[in-house]
Amino acid sequence: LVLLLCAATPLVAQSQPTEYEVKAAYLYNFGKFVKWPEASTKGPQFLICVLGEDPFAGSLDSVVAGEKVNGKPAVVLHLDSSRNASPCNILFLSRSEDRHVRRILESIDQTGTLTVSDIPDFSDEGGMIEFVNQDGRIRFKINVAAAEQAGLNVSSELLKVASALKGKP
Amino acid sequence: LKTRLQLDSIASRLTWMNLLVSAAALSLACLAFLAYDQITFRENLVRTASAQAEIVGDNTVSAVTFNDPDVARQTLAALRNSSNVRAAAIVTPDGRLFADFARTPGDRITSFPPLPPRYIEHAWYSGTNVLVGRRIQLQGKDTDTVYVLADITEILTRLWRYLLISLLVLGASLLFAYFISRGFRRWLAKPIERLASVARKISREKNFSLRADEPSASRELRVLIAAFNDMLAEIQARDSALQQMAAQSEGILQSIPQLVWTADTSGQIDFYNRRWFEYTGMTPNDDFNDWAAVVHPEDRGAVLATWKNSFDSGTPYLVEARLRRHDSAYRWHLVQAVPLRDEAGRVQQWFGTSTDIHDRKLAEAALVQAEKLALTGRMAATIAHEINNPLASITNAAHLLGVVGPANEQQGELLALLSEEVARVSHIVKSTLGLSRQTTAPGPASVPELIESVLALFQRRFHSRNVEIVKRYDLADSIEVVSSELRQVFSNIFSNALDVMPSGGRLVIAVRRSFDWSNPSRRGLRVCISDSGPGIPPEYRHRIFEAFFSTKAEMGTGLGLWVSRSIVEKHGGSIRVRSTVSGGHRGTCFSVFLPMPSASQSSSQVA
Repeated sequence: LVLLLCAATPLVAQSQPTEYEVKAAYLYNFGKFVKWPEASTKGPQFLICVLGEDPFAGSLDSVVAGEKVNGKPAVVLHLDSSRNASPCNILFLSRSEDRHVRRILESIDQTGTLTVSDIPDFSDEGGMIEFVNQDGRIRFKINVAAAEQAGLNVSSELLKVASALKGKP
Repeated sequence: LKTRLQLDSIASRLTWMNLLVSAAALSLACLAFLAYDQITFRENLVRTASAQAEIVGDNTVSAVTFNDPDVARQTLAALRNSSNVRAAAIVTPDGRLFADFARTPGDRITSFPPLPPRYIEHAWYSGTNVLVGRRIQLQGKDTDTVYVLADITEILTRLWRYLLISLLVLGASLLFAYFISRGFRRWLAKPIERLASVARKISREKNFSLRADEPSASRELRVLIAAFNDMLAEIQARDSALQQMAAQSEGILQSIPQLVWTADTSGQIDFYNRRWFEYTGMTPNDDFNDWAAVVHPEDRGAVLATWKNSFDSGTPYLVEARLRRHDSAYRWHLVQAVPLRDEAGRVQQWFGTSTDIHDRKLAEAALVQAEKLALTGRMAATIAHEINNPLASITNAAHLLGVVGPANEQQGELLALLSEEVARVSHIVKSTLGLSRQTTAPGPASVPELIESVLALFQRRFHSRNVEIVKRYDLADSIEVVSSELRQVFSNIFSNALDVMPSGGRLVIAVRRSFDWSNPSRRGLRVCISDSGPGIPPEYRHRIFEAFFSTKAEMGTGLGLWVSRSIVEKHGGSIRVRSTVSGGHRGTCFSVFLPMPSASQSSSQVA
């Protein structure tokens, strides 16, 4: 009978993660719950792109650094324009692109790219995952129809934790 | 159910052995199964808990990843349907409790032991619980650890159930084994029981010709039975040899002329042979230890002392004693006994014999007597011979004096007295010489002359005691006798008469023709010598002719009359005694009958 000392010491000393640190981790983790069509995973890397002003302040890079997603090293790309967004596996739209969401979503070939943003009503405008602030916690909405349209298969595990689903029969 | 719990028979021992072996084997088997079952069941329980932990982990990985404890709790709550799970918890890698589930508040997991590094799963046992921790990974990265607290009380329930079943099986098996071995023990033990009953029968009936036979017995038992039978044959042979030997010994003991007896270690007589009973007149029903009564009162003290001495020291015992015959006559016996010892030298038994030495003793006494007589005779002859010459000179001188004539009348009277006395001396010398003529060959002799020659030796003594001698000789025929022996007979009788008449009396000597009173056809002569002494008391009368019987205490040898009788009987005659102890006719009369040969009889009869 070996019960070791309680290891679950409350980590009060550790500073509460910032909003974007959490979002950076989520962004990276989405890659593990989504299945991409084969065509879009031919590249040697798993691309996580940030379009617009980078709100992560380097936290995304630190989360992704050295990690792999689906067996490929994850790389963060900062894009100025949506023209180069096609090879991205995950595309994060910064709030700076607030006004161009519809245009951007339409401009890029959405096939094989998971679009994520914390712009309000992002999912309603055709985005796939929209971060929302709920009771002080970061949750997300998923537009299943949009994802399916892009040939992405979102895991039921991910759907289970989504705060809201759209386009789900 | 009649159960014999005793372990004194082979059969019941076999039964018990079977039961014990069965019980031991079954118990071990049950124990092994129980252990195996416990281990596998426990493993299964752990495996189940682990699978549950894994499922829960897989189903909550997204909830953990995206920090949604509610979803995780919902998933955990599904464990409510698994009755063995009491509580579960999800702990993040940094040790924070993410979500948990508890069937009852008391079941809540409060502490989370960290898994050993590199282990994906571990189980901690605590009483009736097992805590299974499982690391959950997503694409190679730890996301969280799921703990499942499972109840293993079922394992105990199962244990008890199993034990109960085991006991039932054990009991049934033992019962079964008992009945089987009961069947077998008849097969195994029956031959032994029959062998034992044969042995019992043999020892009860002492019948060693019986044999055991068990063709159905086991090989070892058949060997035993063969050995048993061989032993019986041996015993039978020895038994018959022993019986034969005992019969032989018995025959020897019963047929030898000695009186045989045996005594045990306490000195108690336990056996007399037939000869003893015949001689003493005792019967086997009499008290065996009353033997001292048989010993002559005069010898009894010495015999008892010798016997006690021998018995105490364990040395052989040898004593001469007179033993009373059934007709109250005592005969001399050489009584001897030797102790028979065992290997250790302890006295086991006394073996005694009594040999009749009476005749030998008489012969010895007679020999002594005869030698004395011969010596006396030779001395007498020498003296007589020496006296004869001077006596002849004196006789001649007296004769010459008579021829010359006495000087006066007084001298003539003295001369006559001298001649008379010299003639008397001459007569005594002649008689003495006759006594010394030690011839054992019979020859013709006149009985009155023989009596006279003996009487001459006693005349003086009778005269000095005022005993009147009356002689009635009706017969002067010569008969064939051993003169010296007959002289001894008369000498003995006269000697006795002299002793019983110390102060006067009358001695009547009569010789006349007569016949044998017990056989009237035999003719002969009878000498009757009667004294007027006090007579012989009736209780002694039949014993006076016994050897060593004497009323004269130290003075007599007790042999005189016994020798006399044997001499008379040697001459074919007989000697009787009549005696009266009261009234005016008291006295004793010895009557000697001597046969005279008829014309047809040869004189050799006397020898």
